[in-house]
Amino acid sequence: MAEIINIHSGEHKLMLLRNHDTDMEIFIEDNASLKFFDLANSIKSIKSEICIAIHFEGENSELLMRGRMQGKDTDSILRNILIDHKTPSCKSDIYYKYVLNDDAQGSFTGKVLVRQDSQKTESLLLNRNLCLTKTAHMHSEPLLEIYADDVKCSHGSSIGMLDENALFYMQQRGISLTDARRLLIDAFINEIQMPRLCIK
Amino acid sequence: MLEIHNLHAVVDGKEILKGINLTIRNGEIHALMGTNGAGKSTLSNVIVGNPRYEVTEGTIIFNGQNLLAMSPDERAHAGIFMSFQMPVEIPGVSMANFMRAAVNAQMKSRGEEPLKSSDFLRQMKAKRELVNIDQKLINRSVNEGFSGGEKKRNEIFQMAMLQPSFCILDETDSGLDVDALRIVAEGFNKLRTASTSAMIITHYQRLLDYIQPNIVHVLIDGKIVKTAGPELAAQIESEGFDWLKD
Ligand SMILES: Nc1ncnc2c1ncn2[C@@H]1O[C@H](COP(=O)(O)OP(=O)(O)OP(=O)(O)O)[C@@H](O)[C@H]1O
Ligand SMILES: [Mg+2]
Repeated sequence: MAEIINIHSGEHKLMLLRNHDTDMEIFIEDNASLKFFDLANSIKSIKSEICIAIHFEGENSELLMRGRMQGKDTDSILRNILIDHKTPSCKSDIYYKYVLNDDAQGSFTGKVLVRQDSQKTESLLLNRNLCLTKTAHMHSEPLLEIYADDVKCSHGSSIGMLDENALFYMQQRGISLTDARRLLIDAFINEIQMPRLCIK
Repeated sequence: MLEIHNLHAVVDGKEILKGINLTIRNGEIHALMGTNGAGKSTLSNVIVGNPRYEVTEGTIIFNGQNLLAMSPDERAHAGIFMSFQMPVEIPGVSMANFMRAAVNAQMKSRGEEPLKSSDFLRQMKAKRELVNIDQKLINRSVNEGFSGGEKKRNEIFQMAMLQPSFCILDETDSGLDVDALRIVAEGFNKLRTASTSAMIITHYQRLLDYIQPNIVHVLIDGKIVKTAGPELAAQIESEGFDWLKD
């Protein structure tokens, strides 16, 4: 069973912590702003596989969604996200980053659905990923499905490994390989900042 | 002292260095000239231990240590610095964090305590002024969005911070305007001590007017084909390399 949350007008923050394992269904009404933070960070082995559906039910609302996913060992981190723009003049901005080490598996499927009546929708869907080993696997699938004509939507995705040239440049300056890797990983993941305070 | 003996190296399966012999004593400045693709940057990268370049034969001894058995960071701690022909951009890593990691790693290798933040910042400021590099650049990510000339200046700034005993300048003069060239060369000369040695790779005489070499080598097709005094650089400037090819 999915957890159901209604977001009324005003500002709201939601944060999913480490071991969250229930699917979520969120309904956003008029004039609401939701900041949604999703954190998966393995201390012990994790399996975090959830579906999140967010429905815009009212006008002039905004969603900011950020995901900071870090897996190692045999962790499995899966996000299946649906952003359903049913109503006009709403904005959604979704950005997930994954860092996968060892044999970790990651999957990001994100779909922004802009229905016929939801004119003036603005949506950005991004997923960027870093695989630290050859045995880490990432599946990334951002999708846009648009049935309205006056909208601004874009999406992007990338999967990369640590930049060998950058690692070597740092080592030439005396920085150990371990520290150089750490600096690059932090630079990548710290683009997604989690808030200190979370109100649910 | 750097002693290279019969060095052969391969990149992506292709032999680039075909038996290099070279000795650079403390305090000596050697210029390395040669045609595009001759292997100058390859030689530099092999000296600093870039894993993309595979040594198939030969030895490199630096101050009595077998360099080829050392990791790139250990070679840096031993006092070797390379100003990259193409400095790398590292988005998201600030110049300050990068330099701090480098300086602290060097201190640690000598068994010293890391610098206090205030001392570190003071040192950054002093060295920044020495090479006349803008504070704004130092506040950015490493080399990100720097112009070609700014990147080269940043290399010399890093050299100033790390105070190496052996420097490789790989075409540090390319991309510098006339004033920047003078500032960078003068910066290098200020940083130099009586025992600092260097291998200066350049295509032009003008850098060597500022940093006068003791010896000039010409590298063609993976081999040093000629070694002479500073007059060789001037001769190459006027006559090119054809007379040196067989
Ligand atoms: N990382 C690399 N991958 C593939 N080929 C390489 C690599 N580095 C060097 N080479 C090849 O090795 C040869 C020597 O290159 P190198 O960069 O050492 O020349 P160079 O003497 O520094 O030339 P330039 O004066 O143009 O800088 C060239 O043919 C080059 O294409
Ligand atoms: Mg070169």
